[in-house]
Amino acid sequence: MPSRRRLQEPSFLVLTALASGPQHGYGILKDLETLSAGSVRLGVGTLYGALDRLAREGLVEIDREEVVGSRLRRYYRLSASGARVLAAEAARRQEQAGTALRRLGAIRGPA
Amino acid sequence: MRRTGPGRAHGARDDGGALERSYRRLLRCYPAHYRRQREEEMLAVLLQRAGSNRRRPGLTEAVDLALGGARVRWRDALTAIRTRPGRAAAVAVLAMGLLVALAPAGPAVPGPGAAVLPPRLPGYSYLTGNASDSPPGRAVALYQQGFGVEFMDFPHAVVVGASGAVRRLDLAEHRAGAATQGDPTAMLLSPDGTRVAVGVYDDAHPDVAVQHLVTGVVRSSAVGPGRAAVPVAWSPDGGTLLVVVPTEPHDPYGGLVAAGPRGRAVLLDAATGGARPLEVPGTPHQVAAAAFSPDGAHLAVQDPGGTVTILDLRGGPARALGPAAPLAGSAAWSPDGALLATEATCTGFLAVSGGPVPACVHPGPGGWHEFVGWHGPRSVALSVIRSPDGQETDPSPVVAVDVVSGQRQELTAVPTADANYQVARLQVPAAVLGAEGPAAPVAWEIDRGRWPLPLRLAAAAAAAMLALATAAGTDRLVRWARAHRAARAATG
Repeated sequence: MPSRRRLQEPSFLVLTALASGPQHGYGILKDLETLSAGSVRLGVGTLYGALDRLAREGLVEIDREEVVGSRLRRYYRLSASGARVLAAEAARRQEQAGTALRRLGAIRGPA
Repeated sequence: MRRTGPGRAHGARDDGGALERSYRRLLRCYPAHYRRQREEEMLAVLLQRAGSNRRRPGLTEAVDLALGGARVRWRDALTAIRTRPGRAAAVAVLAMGLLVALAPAGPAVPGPGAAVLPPRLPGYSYLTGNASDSPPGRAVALYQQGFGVEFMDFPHAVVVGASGAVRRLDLAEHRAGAATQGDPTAMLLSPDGTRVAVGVYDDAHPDVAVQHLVTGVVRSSAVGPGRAAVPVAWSPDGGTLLVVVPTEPHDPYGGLVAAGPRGRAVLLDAATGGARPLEVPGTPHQVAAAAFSPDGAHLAVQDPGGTVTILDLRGGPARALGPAAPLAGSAAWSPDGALLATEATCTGFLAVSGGPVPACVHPGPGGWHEFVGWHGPRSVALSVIRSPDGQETDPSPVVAVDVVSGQRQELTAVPTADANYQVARLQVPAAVLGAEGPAAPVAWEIDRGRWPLPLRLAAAAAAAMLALATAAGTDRLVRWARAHRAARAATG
């Protein structure tokens, strides 16, 4: 079983990108840029560091390999446990965000 | 998709190839096993993201890849420690051993306050570093320790800095020829202790090397035709060095004990290194010993026959004092200018301008001492090698003897390890010896500098052997611990 510790930001983002289906490295990077409206731009070294870590923890798996234009493309997919961890992390973040918004609302209310 | 890379068509421009090569160089930050698995995949992503207009990787990309490579290597190291603890321990031991053995040493830190003699000078040690590696700073003493006659007794030239830094004067040890029988060659400390002049006993082109003990810089000065160069006297201001240049190789042990050199006298200018013959009126053809007067205006020279002549360095007439025992070296002239010390079986005196002459200071029936210098106008400093009853001393004291009253006072002493490492040729700069008061109880911590090179190499080899032993021992221990744990788990 994967550990229940908090996901680091790159790991969370990569899992989020893979939640829509298998993607290769460049696809993940582009997806993250799109998801974040350009505010998140992972380096390739950071991306593969996150993929290595997630693979070791069993949260992502290699889906398939292709050769496109004589270049290797390796596709990754979310594992079942990866999906559970991502769901738990997303819920945790949602709860935190909800708490923050509620408190902000309480402040704004009297104002 | 662009088509680039070795063995493929490059299209209209070669920039893609250059970019690919740059990325491949950056990917070398990753270990080889990782690159075998990931390089092509990561390269494809990097090139695809770069697009067609980039010519070289950006700085952010380079840093990101370097950090990524460092992360993988660090993880590999942690894995290695877990899976091969013996090898990891061996590497750690070896690294620490090499660090200790090969780390450079800086120059000695100058000590606070005035340069004074400590109550105890450093004793013999094989671990004393060289002055050329890390100079000791202004010296308070220079001596030879060891004569190569006892067990593991290798002669050292030892120079002691005012800060407590003790070093071997490797310059004097390396310039010693066969005639010295392993002893350091001729060496003479300047009156302020900042420099030491080192001669040579057998060289077709003799020179004198002067080493600055604060900076370590060595300057050699040729002394002209001859076969040896023996520095015999510094002027009081340290500006001039008198060198005796024999025409034959000098054998310090030929004939009489402590046989002095004999040759023409050459003056070296300490500032420029320039050499010129001593040519003032009355200069003997050959000189065996010399000493400058306290004001530097006169020079007492002694010819090989023993005749002492007072030369006027300003060109005035010379004055012969007649035959005497050998002058007691560079520091022979008393600080008040009245006496010259001589050295034979006892330490005697010559009156420079008439007046009373103190009695010879005898070392005792079985004793032996060497003149070091003047501790006061009527007090000489003597290095006692053998006590009056004939016993070799440990520690070997330096005593101040009042030449009128005979009263004695110990100034300092050198441990000799039960006389295994005898001390001789001890020199103390006039400025230190003439300092007010007895040996000051200064806070003194001996610093022996970086180990000599052969010892460092031996230490590195020892570290390697220890590393192998650690590897074997750690592996055995880990295997035992794991087996023990497994056995307990099985029975539990």
